[in-house]
Parts: sequence; structure tokens; C-alpha cells
Amino acid sequence: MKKIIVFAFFIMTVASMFSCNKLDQQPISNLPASAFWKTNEDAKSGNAALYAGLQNAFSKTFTEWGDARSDNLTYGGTGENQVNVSLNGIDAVTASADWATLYNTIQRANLAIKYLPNILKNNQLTITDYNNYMAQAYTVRAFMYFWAVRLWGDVPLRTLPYETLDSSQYLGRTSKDSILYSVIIPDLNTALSLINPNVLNNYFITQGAILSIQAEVAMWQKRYTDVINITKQITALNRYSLMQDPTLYKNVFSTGTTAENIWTLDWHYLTDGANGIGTKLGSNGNTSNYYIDTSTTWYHKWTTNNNDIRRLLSYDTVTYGYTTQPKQIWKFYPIDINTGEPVNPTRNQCEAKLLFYRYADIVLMQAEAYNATGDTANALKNVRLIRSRANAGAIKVSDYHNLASQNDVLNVILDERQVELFCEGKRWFDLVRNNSSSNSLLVNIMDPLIKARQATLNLYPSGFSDTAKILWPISRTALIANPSLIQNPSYSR
Amino acid sequence: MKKKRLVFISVCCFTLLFLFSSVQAQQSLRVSGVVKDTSGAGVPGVSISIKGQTTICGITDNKGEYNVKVPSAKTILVFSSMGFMNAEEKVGNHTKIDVKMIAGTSNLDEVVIIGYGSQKKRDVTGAISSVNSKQIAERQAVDVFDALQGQSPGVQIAQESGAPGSGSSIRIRGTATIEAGANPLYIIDGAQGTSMDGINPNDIESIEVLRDAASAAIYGARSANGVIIITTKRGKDGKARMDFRQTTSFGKLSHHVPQATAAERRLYDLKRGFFAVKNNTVINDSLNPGVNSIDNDYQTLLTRTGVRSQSDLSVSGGGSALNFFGSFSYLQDKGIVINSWSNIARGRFNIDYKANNKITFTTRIQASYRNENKVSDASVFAPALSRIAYLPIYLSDGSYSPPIAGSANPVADAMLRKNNYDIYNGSIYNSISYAFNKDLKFTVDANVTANTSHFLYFNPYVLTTASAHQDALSDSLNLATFWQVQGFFNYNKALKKHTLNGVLGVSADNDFVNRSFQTGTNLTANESILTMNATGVKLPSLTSQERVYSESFYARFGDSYMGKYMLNSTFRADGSSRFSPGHRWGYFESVSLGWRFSDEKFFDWSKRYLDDGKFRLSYGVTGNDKVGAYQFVNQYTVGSDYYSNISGIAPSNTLGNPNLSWEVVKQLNLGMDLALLKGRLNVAVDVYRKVTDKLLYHAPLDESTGVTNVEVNIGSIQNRGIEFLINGYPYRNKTFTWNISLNMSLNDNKVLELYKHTPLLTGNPNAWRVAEGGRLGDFYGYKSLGIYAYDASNAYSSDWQLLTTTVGPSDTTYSLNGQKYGGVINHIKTNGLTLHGGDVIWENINSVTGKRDSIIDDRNKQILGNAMPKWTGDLINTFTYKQFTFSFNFYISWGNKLYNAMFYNMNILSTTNNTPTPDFIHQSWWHPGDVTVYPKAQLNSGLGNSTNINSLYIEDASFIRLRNVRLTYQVDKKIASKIGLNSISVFMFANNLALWTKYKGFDPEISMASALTPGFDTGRYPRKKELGLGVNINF
Repeated sequence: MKKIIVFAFFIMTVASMFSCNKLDQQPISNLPASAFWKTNEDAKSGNAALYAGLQNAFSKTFTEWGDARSDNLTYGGTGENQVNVSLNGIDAVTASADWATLYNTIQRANLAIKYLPNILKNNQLTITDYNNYMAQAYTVRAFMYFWAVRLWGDVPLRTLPYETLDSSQYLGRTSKDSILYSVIIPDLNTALSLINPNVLNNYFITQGAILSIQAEVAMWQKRYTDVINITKQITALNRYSLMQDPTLYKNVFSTGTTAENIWTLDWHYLTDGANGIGTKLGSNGNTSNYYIDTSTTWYHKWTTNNNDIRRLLSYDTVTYGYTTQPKQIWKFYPIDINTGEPVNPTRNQCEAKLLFYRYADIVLMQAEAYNATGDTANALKNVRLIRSRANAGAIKVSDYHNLASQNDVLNVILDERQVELFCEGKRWFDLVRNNSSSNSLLVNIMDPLIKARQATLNLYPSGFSDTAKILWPISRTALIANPSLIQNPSYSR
Repeated sequence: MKKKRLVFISVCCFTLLFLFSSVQAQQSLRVSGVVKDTSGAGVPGVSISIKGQTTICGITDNKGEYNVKVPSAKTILVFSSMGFMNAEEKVGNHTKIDVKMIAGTSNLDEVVIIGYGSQKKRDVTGAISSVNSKQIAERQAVDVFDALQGQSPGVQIAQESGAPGSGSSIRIRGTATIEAGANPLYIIDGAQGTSMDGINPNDIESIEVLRDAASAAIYGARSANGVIIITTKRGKDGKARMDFRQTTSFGKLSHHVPQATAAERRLYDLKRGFFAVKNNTVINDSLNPGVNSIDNDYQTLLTRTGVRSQSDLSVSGGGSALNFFGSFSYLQDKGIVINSWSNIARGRFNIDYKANNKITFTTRIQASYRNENKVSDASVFAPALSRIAYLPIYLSDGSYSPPIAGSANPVADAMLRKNNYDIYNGSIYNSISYAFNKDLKFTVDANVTANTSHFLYFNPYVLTTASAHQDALSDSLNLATFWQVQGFFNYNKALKKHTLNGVLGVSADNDFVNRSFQTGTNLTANESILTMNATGVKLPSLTSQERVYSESFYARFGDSYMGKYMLNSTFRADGSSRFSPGHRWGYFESVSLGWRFSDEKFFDWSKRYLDDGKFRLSYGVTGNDKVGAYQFVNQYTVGSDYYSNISGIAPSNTLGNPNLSWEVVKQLNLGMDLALLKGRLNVAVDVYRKVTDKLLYHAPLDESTGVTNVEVNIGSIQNRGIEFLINGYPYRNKTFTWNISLNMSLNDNKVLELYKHTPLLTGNPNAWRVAEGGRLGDFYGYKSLGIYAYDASNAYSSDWQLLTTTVGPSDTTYSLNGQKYGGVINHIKTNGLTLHGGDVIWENINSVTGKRDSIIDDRNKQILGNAMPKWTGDLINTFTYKQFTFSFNFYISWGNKLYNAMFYNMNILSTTNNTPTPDFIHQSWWHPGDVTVYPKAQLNSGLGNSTNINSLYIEDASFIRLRNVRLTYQVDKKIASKIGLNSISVFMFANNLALWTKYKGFDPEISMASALTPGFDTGRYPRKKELGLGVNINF
């Protein structure tokens, strides 16, 4: 009997430890997919993740994609990465060649587009909110693809979220035109039809933001009449204007919430991490990755125009000791009331807002479109609006063959865009957009600059003659993860 | 001869029959005596059994004395102990028998611990190696890995770095997995989950390494990488015994690697055109005369004489019902790099209580505390080697110099940055056994372990480059708990001819971890307070939890027929919460056979030489489930994707794979054990083939999916190998013995199949190629053929063969294979750029077409060598002369390559402040016509001169190391007893005394890391040369 009791006790002890459902463990600190996209709170969280995706995509790359390869900037500091970017020596291992963060944001948008309807079906979301969330998801997707086709040309296309390991794991590249016509343009049209016109918070996508992307897409495709129409629609919204007062003008960059701002990416370092643009352009560390290229004529003209209020707002004009190069670009930082100057943040506390679109950009885009359609008068009128606000004085027509041709006016507009939109991710695309076989604008500007930089560094002066290198290389990680991808021409490693 | 054997068998049978028939028929004959070794010292713990019987009837006490009951005068007593030959004595009419035991290893009656039980070595059918406490004592082992190193064939151990308190990686029979955990399963006193860290090697009674699948398969799902069973000491019957041990050792950096001096740095600056130095002479820096007097030797500045001291105290004893063993140890280790240290305190208490004939109660309590400061390899050693030698360390006021021009101050970094760890670990194991009768026993046990690790990181303001506060303080606290409950039956029955054993059991375990992390910057109070309240800016704190649960059922059946034919078979079913319901259960089985051919009649002729001979054949299936906890389900991450003060929820970077399942290892083992020449020579040979299927791999996903990776089961790899263990006594007599132990392992692996048959490029940088038909550890990169001497040297024939260029004063001529070449001259390009004088000549064979290429690109990569050693071996020599013991051991690793990434990183010139190696400075291209090894000293800029992987940095890493040398003197017993001690011995030892290798880095023996990324030496905390003294006192 005693044996049986002892035995039973043992068995029970062991048996109590076993139970089948213990083998069903679910994530404790993460959310299983089946538990998400249920409520309006989920819709809000999923929507915030779209913008967090944009922060990831642009934090470290914005400057390198939009400005660093142009004549705006040259390498600063001692690192190899910025030298390679400035000397057209980028290759498959250059960090900014990686498109992973763009596609991660596209995946977030694709998930939102797939699952928001479920929330609506469950009556957890009003139709207005639903439409507004859908509009933002479509816009983010279109915006990401627009950057992708401008940077890499043909890219893989996914419009459905990737949720199971299936055979479409390796995707080839879709032509950039096909992506423009079958995804970017339709997505923006859909978004425009769904967006809540009453939303004015420009940290989020609004009607104006969608129209602005449409305008830039049309510019890229050289559909100038469309550009004029779309930019007129933006003006007709009656929300946007140029900030005339210098203090308000500064706010355009530091807070990004003025009536001139159309779409600004908000940033708080405590929750979002530091914006990498501080490391690239200006922080209180002793070196930034990039400096203004002071060997250029555009810079010389700008820095000698002492009345131009944009100078002091954009960069620290005081140069230190052994270098004559202005080191800190402090355009995006607020002014300290004690010194009257912008304060450079420490690198890991940079919370510069990224300005995607503002009204001055629209005005100048319109100018370029007017000029392209032959309306040079209206084009110059728009340029003068910008110049007068900046107190930059009259256009020095002698610098532009007295505006004899449409091309001369184009140069006026591009020069104005360079200064006005300095380091706002525009200059490189302005050069690429206007580079053609008949007018090798980009090559003419960059080739001598790069040769001079190479000479300084004791390198063979190969310059920038290979127009295939306008596109970025595909990153090594992307090539390895997908064996069916083929590297862009001229890049071999 | 024949007759003798018949008599022997009949005696055995008779004894057995006799035992089974009745116990009361025994007469109470008593025999006592002393067991001594050749030096005359009593041997404690010798087990005494009656020949032909399995049970032990007595054990010698501290002084080697015994007193046993025997059934009759005809009885033959067998005395056995680890490290000694068995001795046999016929009782006859003696009542006092003194026995002299001779050192030896042919001990077939030694007990070997196997899963959920034990077996006599005689009956073992798998590949199991044992290490006993005596062998461990021969080393001055700091931890279990140290104790095990070189003691068993097929076991490879490498310390992660030379830093105090750093861990080790261990591989049994090569690497059978590519990315799931490759460490073996540890079973400590019958339980899983106990921390290896908390074990004092001097508390270990024995370590068993289960190498083949059949031995390991009883542990099923986690045993694919082999199993290591550790048994700690238990108290022995008799008077209480106290042991005290003290060791102190001194270490220094084993050797310096070459580093550029200030003058060499100036030469480098001249070569790269940085300074306008006149007349090509570089002695002084005319721009900064202040630095001309500084020429730092960073390796000397960063290292010191390390001191390690360890004190151990243990108390043990017991009687018929209760045995106890308690120990405490304290290890203080001051590393050879300044400000690196580790202190470890460990305690243990083992109790074995025999309540009555039926119930036995066992408790094992283990606790440890470790406190250490790690000096980061990445922020101190590597940067120091490329720091400019003339940059100051101290300012004129004696304070540390801040970072200059992007170069951190390595001495300040080592001294001021804090990487403080506090690790508390405790485990309690309890077990109750109930014996229903002589044959059947039931055991329930439970083990609970808790591990708390607290990590404090502090980066003071002076180490940063910011002009405002950019310091950082972070505090992380991890709590890990583990429990396991087991219940199992053991059945052991000795029949007339068969000896049966069986196990049937269940187990369940639960692994839980809670992590918390806080970080902040802008410290207040002048950085004097290093707790989170002092941070001026607090970043969001994070906590996360994870739980894994598993359940198992297992069984074993074994039969030994007259000790001649043996069969063992196991089965186990494991369920794990790491997999989705349909893929949750794994089934693992094994069978093994043994044949003692030396007992066969037709082998009688060999009796003169052969004491014992056995063949073993085994086949088994084991598993590996070491992947992340919730890899089977798609997840959303909460709390890391904020925007405009809204907490976003975003998809995880890892895709869920509901089809994920076990990795399965199938292993076939054929082994042979020989005992020759009356125990003077023992040989064990094992041959194995191990195939891993359904390999677990964290596969990268096409980036366009927006998801980074997914855990998949992707293919199969094979490991084949041979292991030898030879142990012999070339000479032995009463006062002098010489023992040699040689073990050698050859392992070769081959990738059989991969997911979609697509090769993997692994690591960052992608230094390895894993392809079907290839081996793991194949380095994949570009082959450097030299440097173009002139711009014109980039000259290739029409079929892209490199031409020999002769640049004359007026013309340039070309030749191919000694013939003048007059055809078209082609120039090779990379990244769209033509290569010139000073650029690297890369081999331009296209790996896809096999033809020569016009462009250097990815297709020109090739296999450059392999990181896995072809063979490894250990040679241990032990000489004993009277009271002296002298031993030394060599470790050999042969036939592998290492990537010297430390030198590579110095030579890529990624920033202008990086100083390359002196070799680079002297051997880099400068002027047209220079024939050099290294390219022009310039930034890379798309020309690919610093491409990773470069064949130039693949180095032969074969080496021979004199790992340990030890001399012990055992003070004469009589003298010891005069001062009131049982015994006392003093010893001197040296570790890592000599190393023979061609490798140019610090040390060719580096951490084994993952099987996908082996042999990549980034310059870790270097190993030390160590000399020490110690004393062992027993009273």
C-alpha cells in the first residue's frame, strides 16, 4: 500500500508539470499578426508606422540621395564613405545604395491597404477616417516608389504585402515607366480622391502634399502643362504662402509647420532616435560628413551676396583656423534666443525636420514648367517672388547671357532652386532631370568638380563622364538576397 | 588455456547463480587492508567488487583502507579506480589483503555516466570519452572548458578571447549545424539548465563527452551537437576531509604585432601626398613640432602583467546514510589589458541522503557571483593599432587627451569607459529515488535555476568628440529562469547470461527571460553618479519577455550477453513551443551494438598481447531546435516605431515560417577499443559519418519584400571523420612511470544540399561561400596578383591575358609568355574605371564562364582557402618519479586558414587617421615602376583596391602550442603528518609557453563563432603567457 501511495505521489508530481497547452506559446512582447488590424487604435498605430518607416528610410540617406552627389556639397571629415559619394566612387557596398528601408516602408503601406478594409468591415472605423488612412498609405507607397525609380531606375515592384514564404521570393525588376504609370500615378490619384480635405496638420499627408508629389512626378516626366495645372491647384487651396518675415522664414525649416510648409517629416530624438542628417551636415561634433563645396561659382555668388537672408540661415559663415570651408550647415536647427544663431545639436540628439515639400518649391517648379512651355515672363516672375522674399536683389542677367534663350532662363531657375532649396533633397534630381544628350548639364557641372577633388586626393582624375553612373548601384545585400537581380551598368562591385 | 577460461566462466556463473538463489546463504567472511599506489600513498575511493558481480561491496577511505564482507574464501576481489589498472586478489584464507595499484587506464569496470543512468565501460557501445578529477587537477583549470581542453578526441575548444572571464566555444565532431546553436547540451548532475559558469572545475568528479548520436539520442531534440555530462563530487564515507588549494599566476601579452612608429607614419603621409615634406626625408613634422617627441607603443601602454589567483576550500565526508560535499572558491583575475578584471565567487553544496534501503534523497546547490569589467576589443585594441603613434595620450596637465581628429585615446578609453557586469547565478536540484526492489527504481527530480545579469555601460564625456555633453549611461538587467522536472524508471537486472537495463521517463522544462534596458545621456553631477537618476536626458526604457516550453518522453533498452554481445537502443519524443502545432513533435531513435571479439574462442591466440578488444557500431538520430522563440508566426513590433508622439505598430523584420521544424542529425559511428600489453597500451578509434538535414538557417529575404529574413530548414551538410585516442606507458616501474596520451581528430565537411540549390554568401562582409559540393568555411573573394607598376602595366592581350610590360626610356614593349606581343592592348576596368599604376592586379578569371574577363566584378571571386582545420591533436606527456610529477601538453591544429581582418582593416585606409601596418607603409606603391605588394596609399574611391575579401590577408593558421607545463611535488606523507596534515603538494605551472605558427596576427586560435563565418580574426583581446605557483593541502 505504501508503495502505491509513494508511486502515485511521484506520478502526480510529474503529471502536474505537463499540460498540452503549454506547448502553445505566443509572443509576449510582440503582437502576433492575427491580433492586429482590429480597431481604430490599430489603424492609427499602423498609420504612424508608415511615417516611422519614412524616418528609417531617410534618416541616413536623405542628404546622400538628394544633395551629396551634386555640386552643393563635398566630402568633409576623414571617412571613406563621403569621399566615395563626393567623388562618384560609390559602389555596391556604399551604405546609401541599400533600398531595404524604402521597401520596408512599402511593405507597411501594402499591409495597411490590405487590412484597413477589415477594420471598416467590423465597424471600428468611420468612413472618413478609413478613407483618410487609405489615402496616406497609397501616398506613402507612391512616394517611396517615386524615390526608388529616380535613384535606381527599374526596380522590383510589389503592391501586395509579403506575408508568407512563397515562390515570388525572388522578384526581377519592373521598368521605371511602368511603375510610374501603373502604380505611382494611379496611387496618387486614388489618394487624392480619398484624402480628408479638412486635415491641415502638415506633419501628415494632406491634400497639398499629394498634389505636390503629383507636381514633382509630372516635372520628372516633363509633363509641363500638368505641372502648371497642379501647382495652380495647390495655390487654389488658399493655404500656402511664402513666409516674408525672416523669423517666420526660419520657422519654415526649424519647425516645419508654417503656412509655407506643405509636408514636413516630424522628428523627436527621444522616440525616433537622432535624425542622421545632423551627422551628415551639421552637429556640434568636430566634423560633419559633408561641407559646402566652396570652390564653386554658385557658392561664391551666394556668399558674397550679403543681403541674401538665406546665407546666415543656412550655414555658419564663420570659418575656423586651418580651414576656409564653412563647416556646419545649420539650416534645420532653431535659433537660440541668447546668441541669435541656430544651435547645432549633438549628433545623437538631432531632431531636424525633413522638408519634403514647401510652397517655394512649388513656385519654382511652376517657374521651370512655364519656361519649358515658352512662358519665360511668368517663369521669371515666380523667380523674382522667391528672390525678393530672400532679399537677394535682382537677377544678375549678365551672368545669364542677358536671358537670351529659354536655356538661360532655365539656368536662372535652377540656380535659384539650388540656393533656396539648399540641402532639401532637390539639387541632384534637378541636375538629373535636366541632363539630356543635347544638354549635358550634370556632366558639365560635375566632371570638372570631381576631377579637381580627385587631384587633391592624389587619385587618378577619372571625373564624371559615364552617364550610366547617374543611377545608384544596387547594394551588395540586395544582390545577395536576390540572385535574380542584375547590377546597374558600370557598377561592377 | 581453454580449461582456465572454462573455469573462469563457471566461477562467474556460479557466483551469479549463487547470488540470485539466496542472500542468507552468505557467510560473513571479513577482509580488510590498505590499497596503495606505487609511491606508497593510500588510494582513496577505490571501488571493491566481487569478480563476476555487478554491485560494489566497498570503497576505500581517505587513507586507502577498506573493510568488506565476502561470501567465501574462493571469492576474487576486484579493486578498481580511475587512472589505475584493476587489481585482482583471491581471498583464500587471508583476512588482511594489502593491494598495490599500478597506474593505467584499461579500466573496464569504471563506471561511465550516460543519460539517465550509468554503465560500466565494458558495456559501452557508443563513442564516449571521460575525464576524471585527477586529469582536471593536472590543469590549472579556470572553468569547465579549460578542464576539458585537449582531453578528448573530437572535441575542439577555443576561448573567445584572452579577456578575464571570457567564454569559450566548443564543438564536438565539427560543426553539424550552420546557424542554429552549435554548442553541445550540458547535463550537470542529471539536470539541464545549470550554469556552466557557476561550476568550479575542482568540484568535478568526472566529465563525459557523448560524441556519437546513439549515446546522445536519449537527449533527443537538443543533442545534435553532442552532450557533455558533468558529475560533481560527492562526499565519501569516512572521516571528514578538508582540501585547500591556492594558485597564483602571472601573465603577460604573448607577443606584440608590428605597429607603425611615428617616423613610419610620416613616411606614410609622405607617400599619400598629405604633407609637403621636402627632400623626401621624413623625420620630423614641421607643422606640429610639439608631437615630434612622442612615439607611442600602444601595445605596451595597454598591457601589464596580469595576476590571477584562485583559492579553493572544500569539505566532504559522510557515513552510511548521509554524504556531503561543500566547496567555496574565489577567483581574482586581473587581465593583461589595463583595467580589465574579473572576480568570481562560487559555492556548492552536495548532499546524498539514504533514508532507508528504498529511498534516496539528493540535493545539489550551486551559486555563483561574478563581477567584471570588460575592455572592449572593438573600441580599444583595434583602434589603438591604427592610431597615429605621435598623437598624445596625456595632455600637459597630466589628464587624458581627448579624441584628436577622430582618433580616440585608447588608454583613456580602457581606463574610463565602463563595461561592468554583475552576474548572479543559483540553482537547486533535488531528486528522490524510490527503489521498489533490487532491480527497479523510480526517480523524480526537479531543477530550478535563476540567472540575473546586470550590465552597466558608461561612456564619459571626455571620450566623445562632441563639444556639448554626449556621454551615455545605460543599465540593463536580465533575469532568466529555468525549471525542469523529470520522472523516470531505471531497471537493471542481471540474469544468468544477460544483463538488462532499461529506462522509461518523461521530462518537461520551461525557459523564461525578462530583459530590461534603460539608457540616458547628459549626465549631471559631473558624471560622478552612475545610476539612471543622474541622467539629464532619459531615453525610453524597454523591457521584453520570452518563454519557451518543451516536453519529452524517452526510453532505453540495453542488453549485454555475457559481456560479449551488447545492444543498446533508445527512443525519445520531444515537443517544443518553438514550432507551430503541426511541426512541434520530433522523434529520435538510436541503436548501437557492441562485440567483445577478444572473448571469442578464435581470438584466444591473441591473449598474449590483447587484454581486451571490442567493436562498437551505432546509428542514431538527434535534433536541434535552437532557434528564436517565436519564429513560426508573423509578428508586429510594438513601441519602436513612433511618429509625432503616436506609438506606431510595425511589422517585424523577421517573417514567420509556420513550416519551421527540427534540424535532424543522423550519425553512424564505428569504433574499436583495444587494451594491449597488460594495460600498457590503450587504443580507441572511431570513424563517423554525420549528416545534418533540414538545416536551420536565418535566410535573408529579397529586400523588395520589405522583410529582412526568415528562419527556414534549408538543406543538408555532412561531417565525416576519424578520431584516435592512444594512451600508453612507454616505461613504468615502481618509482618511475612515463605516460603518453595522444588524441587526434580528422574532420571533413561537405555541403550536400542547399535551399533551391542556391549558394549562400555569408557574413558581413560576405567573406564565405557555402555551395553544394563545397565546404563550410570556404573563404570567397578576390585573388591579388600584385600591383600594376606603371599605368601602362594594365595591359592585356586580346583574350585578356596579363602582358608583361617593359617600360623603356622611349617606348613601352609587351610580351606574353616570354614572346614579344604586338597585338591589341586591352585595359581592364572595375566599376567603370580603368585601373592604373598603383592599383591592385586582381585575377580576372570569370568563375561562371571559366574565361578571362575585361572587368573585375563579382564573377571574379574565387575560393581562397578554408577556415576549418584538417586535423587537430593533443599530446600529453606525464612523468612520475617518486614524489615528482611532471607533465606537459601540446596542442596542434593543422591545415586551416584565417582571414587577418585586423591587418586588413588597418590597411584599407578608410579614414586618413588610420595608420596602416608597417609592412604596408614600406611595401606600398609610390612611384611608377615600383614593384610592391600593397597598392598606392590612397582612399579607395570605387577602384576596389581595398576590396574585401583579399587573398593577401588569408594566412596559414596552422600551429603547435605548448599549452600547459606542470611540475608537482608531493611532500612525503610522514612529513605531512608531522605537521598535522594528511597530504600536501606544491606545484609550478606555465600556460601557453610557446607557440609555433606562420600566422602574423596575435594568435591563430580564435573563437569558432558560427559555422557560416569561421576564421575571421578582427583582433580580439590577445592571449597571455602565464606562469604560476600553487599548493594543495589536505587535512
